Amino acid sequence: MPNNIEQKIRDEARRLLTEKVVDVVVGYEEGTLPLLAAPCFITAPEEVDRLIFDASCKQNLAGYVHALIIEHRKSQARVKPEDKTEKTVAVIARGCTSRSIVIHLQERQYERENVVIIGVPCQGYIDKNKLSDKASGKEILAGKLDGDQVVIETAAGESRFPLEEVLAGSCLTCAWPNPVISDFMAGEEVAPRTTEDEFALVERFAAQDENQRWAYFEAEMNKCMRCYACRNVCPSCYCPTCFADQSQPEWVGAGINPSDNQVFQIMRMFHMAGRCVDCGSCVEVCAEGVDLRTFLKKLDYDDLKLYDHRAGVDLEKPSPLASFREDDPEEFILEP
Amino acid sequence: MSAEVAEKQKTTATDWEPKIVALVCNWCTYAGADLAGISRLQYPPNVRLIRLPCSGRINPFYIVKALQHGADGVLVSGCHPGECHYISGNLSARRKFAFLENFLNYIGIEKDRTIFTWISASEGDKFARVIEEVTARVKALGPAEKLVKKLS
Amino acid sequence: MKAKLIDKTALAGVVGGLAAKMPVYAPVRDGRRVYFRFLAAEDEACLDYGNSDNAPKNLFFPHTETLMRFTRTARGHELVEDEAANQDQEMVLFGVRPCDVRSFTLLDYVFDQEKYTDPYYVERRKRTVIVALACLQPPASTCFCTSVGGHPAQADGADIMITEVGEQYLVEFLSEKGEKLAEFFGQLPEADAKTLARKEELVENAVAAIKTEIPGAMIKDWLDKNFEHPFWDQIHQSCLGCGTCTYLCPTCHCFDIRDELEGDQGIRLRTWDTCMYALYTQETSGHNPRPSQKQRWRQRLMHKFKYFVDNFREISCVGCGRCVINCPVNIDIRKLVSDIGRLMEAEEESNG
Repeated sequence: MPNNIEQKIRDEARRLLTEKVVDVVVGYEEGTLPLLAAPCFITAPEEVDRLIFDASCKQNLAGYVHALIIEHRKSQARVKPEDKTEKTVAVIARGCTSRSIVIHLQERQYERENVVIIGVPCQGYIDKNKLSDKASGKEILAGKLDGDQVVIETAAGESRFPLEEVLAGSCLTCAWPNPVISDFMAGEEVAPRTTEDEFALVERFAAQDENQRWAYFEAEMNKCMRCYACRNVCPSCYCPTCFADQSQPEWVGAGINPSDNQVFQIMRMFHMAGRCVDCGSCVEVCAEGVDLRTFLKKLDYDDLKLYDHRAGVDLEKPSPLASFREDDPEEFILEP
Repeated sequence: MSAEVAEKQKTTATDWEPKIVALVCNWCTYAGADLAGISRLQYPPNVRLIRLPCSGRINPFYIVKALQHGADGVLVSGCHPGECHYISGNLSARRKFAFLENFLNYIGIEKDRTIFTWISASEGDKFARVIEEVTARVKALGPAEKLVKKLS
Repeated sequence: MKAKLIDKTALAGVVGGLAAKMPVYAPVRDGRRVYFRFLAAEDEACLDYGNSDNAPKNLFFPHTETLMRFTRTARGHELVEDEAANQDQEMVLFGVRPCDVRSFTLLDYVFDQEKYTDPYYVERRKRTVIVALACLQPPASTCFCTSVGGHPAQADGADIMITEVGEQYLVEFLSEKGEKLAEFFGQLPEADAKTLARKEELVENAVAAIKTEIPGAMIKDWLDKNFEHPFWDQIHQSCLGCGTCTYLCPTCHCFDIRDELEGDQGIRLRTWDTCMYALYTQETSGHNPRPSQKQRWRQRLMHKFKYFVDNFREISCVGCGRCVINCPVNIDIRKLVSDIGRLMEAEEESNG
């Protein structure tokens, strides 16, 4: 049985496709593994019943919106101006997804008319590592959500625990669970989280001594196998050619060298300054379980503390690196 | 040189000399370095100047890459805020540098490995003073080890 | 062939004894994951694992390896002898699962051919003794070795096969290389007929326990004829184009070669590459013969289930399920192959 939100999503998707308002609806469908939804692309009204939305829906879908529109534009490169068509994409968007779309719009990637935002209130999604811990490392054979509880079945039997205990770190401190912009809202807005201080993570980490911090950074980056899943899933990582793929100059070596791993991640994260919406997708897709959030959150922290800005929250407020003030803080400038 | 830095410097090997890369703006610091030279001011020879059109042209990547490939310290210097040849290049740069400096410190790179400053074309004496200070600070840190690439 | 019995508790000691004498590459638990790596003094091999998170192909074909070193001089580049390449020490790959053992047989087709041999791979392969561990524990739901020509207790390619039988391990020495290690196992009693029969029974149960079935061998006919088919327009859409599936795959073997220079010292590196990256086929002119993820996904499936079969008569998939478990967007190779199977059935029906 579809839940309330799902029913509304499906109805709206059906309407959008039937009335030909959009070419495609990007959403989530049931996956092949327990408690893991897969992104899906619906182009026909009769397929909308595949759409689902619950805590097993993980990735930020804004990256697909960008890719679809830009790919379409590229395919139109040789079409006469009067014959050019635009692609309109509808997307199931929770708070973080909508913020990524705001960033795309601010960065002039596509027009507001190109995207129809089907907003969903979001309670957070399941973190695969936390879930695996709940199963004590055993394979999860089946799983389902039961209200605010998760029920999983392993070889050792069935177990039940609150969803809250396996929510992703990003979700536990989420201040924008509802879309910041939307064309349609599937369900009642939910209250933002106020349980834990959003930046406690950053402050705790910064309180450690320099060498401890480095040791942690080094160890985490050593896990990286350079599959680039973090970069590829990130809606803010949309450069036609990533610095990591450039050969002239070759910014980063392609091999697994501790230093190259570190430099790749430092620079990818640096590019997220003022552009990271803390959706946690990069953390969730990482097969090696690299803790990227501890570091990315620092950029978010500085974005707020130095420039009073939050990524993708306000369409009218430019990102920190696209603007400046004469009296910006500069305590770090040396004046001997 | 602060007393603390001087104290630290005593404890590190004396025969080691740091390599410092300075990324400097063509319109101010570079001319400031010239002035320092013309004025016959003495400053440590540890610094290699790289001239760029503006501090706004400095890709933060240059700083990280310099550290990766063996610089013991990186100095970045541009025009004082309000004096940019291109009106606002240094103001944009300042935000990039703030993020980068904070981030590098956060992950555990020593604070004095990357130093940012403003030096105008008329401040030959300041240029000499900055180089002296930067060299002393980096010397106090010892050779860079974090982030340095070693061929496997 | 000798079949011996060893107490369960004694096996850890055998691994320790081996590790004291030579490099031992074995599964080690690291937090929530199990990785194959060289055992360090403080490491303990993990033998009660399902399968490792990384593929043991890393031992023979590491993500990054130095092929040669050079020095830049005024007269040009001079090659420098690399001591690491000239090692001839024996190694042990311990506790590898049968699906992964099979992956070495498949990789051998590529790296060890009559006409082209890859000295780096072959050298390491030659001096490594493979000790396999049969998969008699309940399989993961993502395991499908039996659908692609494998078997939970398949011993082909292993030098020593270890099978858990009750409170003991049955140790079978399958090759000369394997027998050389017999001394590390100490004096062991021969396995009696009853134990051997019990093993056969357990293996049969293990085969029956694998529930996932895909028409792995059947789809080649369809792939032969359907390079262009609407099926290919669907499967890649959600693909991120990351390297997770190929980097964790025990049989994927594409690589790139580049030079790196630090000062005047240089190395020539071989690193993994993957058909999932756009850069993989990007030409210098800017043209990319595989312009979108569609062509890249078609390549991946075709390579595993058609081209490899054309070339070497085997499917290049061992059914370990790593790509299934780790794909960030749940593109499931089992589903794709089964979908093709269903397409074939439907086509057959419509053709009468």
